[in-house]
Amino acid sequence: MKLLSSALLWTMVCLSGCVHMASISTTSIPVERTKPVEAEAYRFLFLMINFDNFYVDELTRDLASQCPDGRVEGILTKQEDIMYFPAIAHAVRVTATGFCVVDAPSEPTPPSTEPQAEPPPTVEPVSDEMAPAENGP
Amino acid sequence: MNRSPFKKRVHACTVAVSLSMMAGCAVMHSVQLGEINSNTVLEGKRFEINVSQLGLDVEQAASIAEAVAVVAGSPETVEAVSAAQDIGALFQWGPKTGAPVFRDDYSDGIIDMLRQECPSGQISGLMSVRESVDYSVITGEVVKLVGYCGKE
Repeated sequence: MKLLSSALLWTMVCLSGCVHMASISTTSIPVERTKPVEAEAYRFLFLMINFDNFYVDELTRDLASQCPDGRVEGILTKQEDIMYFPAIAHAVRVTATGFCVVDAPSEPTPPSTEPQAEPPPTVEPVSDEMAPAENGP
Repeated sequence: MNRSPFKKRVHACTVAVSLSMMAGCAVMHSVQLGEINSNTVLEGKRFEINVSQLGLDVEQAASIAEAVAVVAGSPETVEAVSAAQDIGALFQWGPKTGAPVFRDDYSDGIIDMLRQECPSGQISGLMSVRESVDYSVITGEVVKLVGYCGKE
């Protein structure tokens, strides 16, 4: 019985890995969403020891390099704390996803080939003499 | 100088624990990315702003004091520390990131710092990170901004 309970306990401990959402944020979502881009920063923490957080600094350049001629909009930044094994094996994962928006080059407007519409005829004011008498004699 | 194996082990453990306490542990609470203009990020000047404030982990300090009192064999001190810990916990209850600080306006000047770092105002790819550096009992509560400044 003791063996069974200890085996059950160890199984539960080994399967207890879980993920916590530490933070999430988003920017304005663009209309143009055809080109998604994604970048990830990950660090494994042995015994939860971590000396710096510089590993997230390259996220911005990573996203920008995937969209060199445009803008990255609608960025969803998600930070997850992952536990693989209690106290021993942990990790932090920061994921940033967005959409690459490239502005269409502004082309000069070609000269229109359609004939220009004639200006509307000007209506001359009707003189009082030509005006019909409203009231009969 | 001959030391017993037990004393050597205790000495090694003490050194290891002291080193780990001196090294500091960085904890990231949140990270947020702003919109990115790729030209500015790839060709602009990178800048970083750090503001921090001293934090005091009263709960951790009380735990250490309690452990010391237990080792010293002083049950009255243990009770007193435990009571103080409970009272302190009442004043620091609720959701928070990091340890309590003495001033909560330490990050208010970030906007002025941004203006100084990038006078052109062409800022892109701004990433804000909230982190703590834990030195055991004493912490550094840090707000960090990393961004890119474009030319005028």
